[in-house]
Amino acid sequence: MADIILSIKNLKKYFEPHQSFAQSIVGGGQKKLIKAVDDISFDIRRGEIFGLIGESGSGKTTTGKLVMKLIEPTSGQMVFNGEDVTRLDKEKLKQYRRKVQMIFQDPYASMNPRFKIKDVLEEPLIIHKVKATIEERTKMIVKALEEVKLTPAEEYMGRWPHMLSGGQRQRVATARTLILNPLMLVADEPVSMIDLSTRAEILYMMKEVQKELGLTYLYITHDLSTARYFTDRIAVMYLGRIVEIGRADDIIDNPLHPYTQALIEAVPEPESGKVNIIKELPIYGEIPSPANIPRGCRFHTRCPYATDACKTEPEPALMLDGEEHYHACSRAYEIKADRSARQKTGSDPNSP
Amino acid sequence: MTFGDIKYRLNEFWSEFRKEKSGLIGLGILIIALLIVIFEPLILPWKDANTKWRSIDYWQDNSANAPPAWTNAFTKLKAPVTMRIENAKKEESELDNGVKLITYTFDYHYTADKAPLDVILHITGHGDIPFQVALERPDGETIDLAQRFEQGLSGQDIRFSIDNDGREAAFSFIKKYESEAALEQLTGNSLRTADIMFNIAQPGMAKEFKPLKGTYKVIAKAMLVDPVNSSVEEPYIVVTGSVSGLLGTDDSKRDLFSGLVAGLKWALLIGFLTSAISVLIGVLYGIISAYFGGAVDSVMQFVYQIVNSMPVLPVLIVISAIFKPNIYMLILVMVLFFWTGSVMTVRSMALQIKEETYIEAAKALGAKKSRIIFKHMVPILIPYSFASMALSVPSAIVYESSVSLLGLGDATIVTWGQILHDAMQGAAILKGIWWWILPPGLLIAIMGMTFAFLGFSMDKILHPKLKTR
Amino acid sequence: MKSLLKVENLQMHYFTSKGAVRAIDNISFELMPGETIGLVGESGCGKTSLGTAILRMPTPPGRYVGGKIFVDGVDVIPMPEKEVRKNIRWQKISMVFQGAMNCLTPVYTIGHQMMETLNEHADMSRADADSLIKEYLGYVGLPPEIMGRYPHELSGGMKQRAVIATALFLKPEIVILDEPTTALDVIVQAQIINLLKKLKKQFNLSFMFITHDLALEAEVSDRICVMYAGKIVEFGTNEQIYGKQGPAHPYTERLLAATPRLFKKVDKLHFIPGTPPDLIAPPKGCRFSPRCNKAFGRCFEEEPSLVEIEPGHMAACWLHQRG
Repeated sequence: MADIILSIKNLKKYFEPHQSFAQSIVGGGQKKLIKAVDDISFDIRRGEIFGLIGESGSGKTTTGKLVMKLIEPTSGQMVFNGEDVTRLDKEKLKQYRRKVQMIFQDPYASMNPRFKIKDVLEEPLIIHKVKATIEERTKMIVKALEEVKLTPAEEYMGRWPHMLSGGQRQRVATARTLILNPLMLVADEPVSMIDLSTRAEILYMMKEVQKELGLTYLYITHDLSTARYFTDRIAVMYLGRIVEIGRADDIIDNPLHPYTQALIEAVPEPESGKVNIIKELPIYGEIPSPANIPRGCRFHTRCPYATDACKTEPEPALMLDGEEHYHACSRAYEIKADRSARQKTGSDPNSP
Repeated sequence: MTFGDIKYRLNEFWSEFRKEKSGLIGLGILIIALLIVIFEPLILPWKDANTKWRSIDYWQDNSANAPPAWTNAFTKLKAPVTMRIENAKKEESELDNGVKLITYTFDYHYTADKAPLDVILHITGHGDIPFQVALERPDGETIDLAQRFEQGLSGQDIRFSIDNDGREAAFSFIKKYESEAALEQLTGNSLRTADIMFNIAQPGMAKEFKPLKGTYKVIAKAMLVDPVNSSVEEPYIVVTGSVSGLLGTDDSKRDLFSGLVAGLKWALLIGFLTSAISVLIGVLYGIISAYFGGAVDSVMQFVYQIVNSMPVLPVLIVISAIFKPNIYMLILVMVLFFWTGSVMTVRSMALQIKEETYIEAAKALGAKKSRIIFKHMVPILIPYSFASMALSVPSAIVYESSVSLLGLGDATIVTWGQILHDAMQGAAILKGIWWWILPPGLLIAIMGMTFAFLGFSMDKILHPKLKTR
Repeated sequence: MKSLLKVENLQMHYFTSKGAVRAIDNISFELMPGETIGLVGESGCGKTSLGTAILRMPTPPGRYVGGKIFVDGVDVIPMPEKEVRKNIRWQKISMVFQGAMNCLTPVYTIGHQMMETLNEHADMSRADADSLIKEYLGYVGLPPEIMGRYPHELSGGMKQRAVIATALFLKPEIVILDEPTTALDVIVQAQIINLLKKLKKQFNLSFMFITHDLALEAEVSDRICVMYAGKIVEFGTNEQIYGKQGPAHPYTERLLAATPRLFKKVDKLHFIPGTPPDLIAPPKGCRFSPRCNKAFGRCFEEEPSLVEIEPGHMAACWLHQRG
């Protein structure tokens, strides 16, 4: 039985949209809830890199914020390191923050432009009143910078963020999370705003850091291809729910939910011969608003294989396939058989 | 922030600031003003103008409502300039009985076309001393003007004015040249001693003044009967002209240039203190209101609206009338109103900053609200507040001037507003005393313009570019 | 076949207070009718600058320093602005700017903004303009009601479709697209790419597709132009760059190696250490040499010129040139 560091059970986060005074009178109490996260459950094992994949509107960023406790859940349970952390008082929240840290998407915006790198890295120590002399603190800062391969550390400490490149800033952001010796890092699209060639560098650095320090990562992204390289297991989110979860290799080689299949089809590959091909995407239209979640299986409005049953029957729960591959499609095997048959005969799979 | 950091930021700021012409003009004027304030003791022609503004004695040697000295360049008939002559030739001679006679001789080069108003000798002494003052004219005539025996002196200033003390001598002199008949036509006091003393000695001199130009000597003699126990020192003479100083005098004979220079520091003080304190309060208010949001924001906005709609000047007037405040109380009251000026803009900026990722990151690190406000938001908005400060200085200066104009200002200091008030009271416009009204008015305007220039240029540069960088 | 666009020895520098940034330093290439040329490179390589330069709108403080840009045989650099606006911009060449969908003014409707662009470049009656816009909204898959909507009511994909429609409605021959899908989710991206391919065929367009995403380039461009530090380092067909043989220039090679694959399990992603050079004072010799693992003596001394190493395939690298 794997050692679970974070266990999420039936987590929900609903937002109430802001209404003007007039609207609330006229609307007559029928407030539309934005169901950003709509009942998700998953476990993250200690020492693994867990990927949360989804497009915008999937609820992955909200999930990240819930894990970081930047927002409070509407309902559900979170257990971290054996302790229930669903609702925490001020003191316990501060302790939690020492153990769970975040790397943000925008390396340009996640640091106060007026803080020198030294100040950026010292801030966690100051906030948590880490007892140490200036010398000791400096040592901790240097160690964190060396951990992320920003050396010579002294040179970087005296600079301002705008003097560093995007990749370097992200290293500093990583160093900032490490300085308090956390147990888990939540990384929300940490490389999507960085150049391609630097992306690999940063991901490589993050992986090394993880191995060395035995950290656990929650890696949130929409980019499936980095997920394969970087993560151990992934969960695919759609409109606030997890539709597929399992080992990254398994899911990419054998996607069982139509949404995951569409995601995989959509990813461009750097191979020749594709210029004149109009990709057949097994998905219709765009993601619905989380204020208006479709009945039945919430994916049915975009699913090329949807039947009437999919529209009316209750939403499918996650089903196990094999060892640890779960999916939420009641027609998964039919569709799979269908697709391989069509691929064999060479005719087009379903197209929009 | 270390010194090096501040230097770096200043350098960055300067490289952009120097491209702003208006800002540089403002900065230039400000530097000049500051230099004037620093070197005030050296610049003031009348050193005690600050403390003696309302004393009569201090200014008594001046003429009232005298135009500035340089107006002579524009008139055909040159008026004599009020001047102080100090270096006398000192002669000591011993008489019999060990009595010492000390003679001070002052040279006055008279080149004007009109007669001075007076010649005044100041001398200090100890003991019982008889004094004698005489005037030697360029035409050779020497007139003994006055004699006085001062007893029991202990260092006080003795003042001889030929206008007062030398009248008899002057009339004796003029009788030598004019007939009785001509003299009787004159009413008692229309002829001043100086009109006679500096006139060419000839018949008709009572009616018409023809200047006798040349070097006059004022001879002051002091007889030290008991040289051991008596002494004299520091004599100087003042020639009271009809034009005076760099900016003339007012009707209380006060040198306006000194008054305006003295008032400069108060203008700057009022400006700086009021704007600095009120803007700091306003910035903090705006940030707190924005950051806490919700009910706190609503309440703070409500309070802000109320204070903001209150008219400053009437309140200032009422308070000044009732409490007769000093300048610091005035500043306090102004601060109580001025803080609203920057609140709205700061609040909207703070609302934007609140959404920035690094604020979220600070929260994720566990930072308290106070830390986020003071360590993250305030340092970003402070530079903007500098611009805001500069822009509120003119208001402060003008408000104080208005209060003083109404006669309600701080009576222990000299401010430009007060000078204007006195000008109004002294019917300066009616009397055409333009040098009393124009300079203080202009200076208030220039100071305002200076800070407006500074403020606008700083604003252009320092307005936080929140996203970039 | 005559080229639609011919860029000859183009030089455009940004004259900043710190010096002249040589953003485009001697670039030459040709765009043929009906083809897509992909401009690929990291940030700062000059690809966006090239896009705006071709449209005769260098971003200040940028200025042309040399070279020619021939559109349908006429050099547009010396052309007066009025003429460019009337005849060239939007009529012959149009552009989908980077992040355009996020630059839509929130206070005006989509229709209003599209109309504004239309009026800038053409004289048309209100009714004609209206129906033209509706027609093109249809081509990009948007219902005509979109005209009355505000940008915040639209999704990213819909906004980008509207921007594409705006770029097409005056029937240009060439469309420059600068990172048209970077801010979009992967499925929406694929849908937009499909749309672009469809439109290209339908209207016989030529595209200049600018992006840093090498994988995307492979699916979109007939010929690829790899830029580095203001220069073209490699230019070849899709097959030549992405095919079995592999690219010629070490930079392209490493860029490809750094691109993560979905279907290939890699243990280690390669990356290129170091950063692109300062374009105010570029290094002597080949600009990529400080970061190149195959550099040798000559690379640091002399700058290699762009030379044809096989038909249709150019590379600026001493590894492929003798003498």
